[in-house]
Amino acid sequence: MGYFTAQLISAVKLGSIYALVAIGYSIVYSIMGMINFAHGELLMIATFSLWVLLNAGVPFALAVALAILVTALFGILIERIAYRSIRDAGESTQIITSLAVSIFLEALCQAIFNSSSKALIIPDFFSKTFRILDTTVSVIDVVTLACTLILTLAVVLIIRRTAVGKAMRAVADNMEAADLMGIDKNRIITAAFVIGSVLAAVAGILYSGKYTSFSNDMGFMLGVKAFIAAVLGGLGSLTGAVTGGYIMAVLEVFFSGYLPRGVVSYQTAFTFLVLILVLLVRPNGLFGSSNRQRS
Amino acid sequence: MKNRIISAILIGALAITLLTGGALAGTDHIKIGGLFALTGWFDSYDVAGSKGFKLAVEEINAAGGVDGHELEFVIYDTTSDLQTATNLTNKLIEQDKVDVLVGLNDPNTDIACGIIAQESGIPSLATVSTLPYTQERVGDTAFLVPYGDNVQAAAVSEYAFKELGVRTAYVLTNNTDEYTIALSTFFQAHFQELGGTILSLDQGDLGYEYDENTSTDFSPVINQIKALDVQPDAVFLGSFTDEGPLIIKQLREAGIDSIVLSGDGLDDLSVAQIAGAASNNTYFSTHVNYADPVTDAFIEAYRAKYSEDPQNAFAALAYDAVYLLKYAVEKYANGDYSPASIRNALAQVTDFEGLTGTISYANGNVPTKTVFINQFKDGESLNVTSVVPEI
Repeated sequence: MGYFTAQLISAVKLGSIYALVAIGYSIVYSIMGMINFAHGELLMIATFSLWVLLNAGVPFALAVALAILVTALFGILIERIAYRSIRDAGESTQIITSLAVSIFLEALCQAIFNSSSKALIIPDFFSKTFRILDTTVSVIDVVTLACTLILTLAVVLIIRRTAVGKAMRAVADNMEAADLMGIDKNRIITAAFVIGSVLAAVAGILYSGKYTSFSNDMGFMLGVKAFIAAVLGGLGSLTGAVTGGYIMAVLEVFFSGYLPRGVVSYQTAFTFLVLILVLLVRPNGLFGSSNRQRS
Repeated sequence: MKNRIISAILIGALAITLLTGGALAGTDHIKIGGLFALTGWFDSYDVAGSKGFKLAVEEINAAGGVDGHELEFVIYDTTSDLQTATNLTNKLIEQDKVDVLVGLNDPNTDIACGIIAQESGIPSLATVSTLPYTQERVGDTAFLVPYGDNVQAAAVSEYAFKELGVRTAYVLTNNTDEYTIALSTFFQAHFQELGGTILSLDQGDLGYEYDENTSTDFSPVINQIKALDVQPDAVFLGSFTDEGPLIIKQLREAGIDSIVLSGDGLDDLSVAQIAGAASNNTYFSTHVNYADPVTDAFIEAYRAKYSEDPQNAFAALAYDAVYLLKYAVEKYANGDYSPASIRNALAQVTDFEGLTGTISYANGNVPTKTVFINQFKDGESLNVTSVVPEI
């Protein structure tokens, strides 16, 4: 029993990060209908910004706020420079462009900061540990879980209860019609990128803070896993993204915790096998709708 | 008519210059091709290595070169990518016409590039790879400057068993590289021979195997260790600097205070920086003792040139590689600087005294050297002892 709960708590800790990144993928997809593969690089931008600011002696809280701001600015810039002009160019063009942006940002970061792993030193308070149900949990794990729940709720509220959210839903439903109704679609899309970038920034900082080590390629694998989580939950669905993130983490942790001798090193393959099976049965993901029309 | 004669003379002169120039290029000087990973996952070892390499070449040239001839060199960045490294090997051999290769990254890369070099008869001096069966896999042109994994794994297990009183060990292995697999294999074998018990055999032949490309979170295996009735005396890591500090940090956060053991894959100050105080009870094998006065001149020159201390032993190994080459050529090549002659000269080396110990290739192309055991202590890498293992 102790071993099971230990693995479960590990999965929740890991799943929170996946969920945060996955919501970012989903929100941009639901508004624009495009998969932004450069999303993972926003985690990298947030972490490097925080690292530079901390090294410059900026107090931690201010540095975190500024790092999130910088990441949001990058999100706006990426959309403005790379994505706006190809908005109507078709899905494959958008995917290739976003891959190019991803590779460009990673290489740019390497050119500026080199590619070796760096240490992100956050205040000791976050790495304090305490015991829950026989397992060790650190403050940053709790903060991560709290951030995931609060930010998910905040995004849901923004989309359901605010004017911007209403406009977002309108643009997501039919971009041309929304435009004709006087909704400034550029502003709405910018807003979607800001929300996505803020979520990515928070996830990036929590992730690097927890594992201490980061480098310019940190966004890639995490981005891929979160993307798969978003697809599993149903691209475009926020509940789906969060659920997908946690399912992904549970599969990963339990496969490496319970697979028998000899096959345990294929845990990642097993995880992806389950995901393929789920998508075979539900091609639009667990919470995705099949009648989604994209313009 | 007059113009024609002048043209003919000029063409003749040009032809003679080209011919003699070509002849000179083949015999009169030595050109080294440096294959280092200056970017990518392997750069923590090789950036320091490339610095040690350049320092040695500059020192030798400033002091009159090898046999009075200046050493030429080209360094390429393999970007830690096997395909890039093999392409660059072809380029170094075909275009740059190098006589010898130095560096060559991890064993996967060393073997792939070594085989290409072997086909052209170009000798290669690996400065990071410690795979003991490299010569069997590549051929007689492949040399290692460091000792083999069998030697370092034996040294670590002997030190742990005899000095630290370690009787039980739990093994974690990165299963994506020949190095980490060999290291864990040899450690398990030697530790069991000494009478130790491996607690992780229910996980797999090499304990808990992971793919560093997909693993940042090691809590599943940490939960496994915590669920054991008796905690292991030591956790052995067949790991690199990328994931090693993550594992150490997560072990300590989970309250596991077993001694951490590893090989030279953990030899980089970045490990101590990333893991912080969590790295304090970590012992690993390395190739040099920077506290030994023998290395003083090297460290001073390194500091003067790069404004930093060598971050690991690979700076000293690459530095040794160039001096080893000079020693071999001056002593055994008899003025013939062709690749074949350099290979034969290297094969005859006995008792070359480098910063990293004594190198002899009399019994094969992997030297048996002293193994240094280091410990991380408050962000520093400190030598605790040296071991000549019984194997």
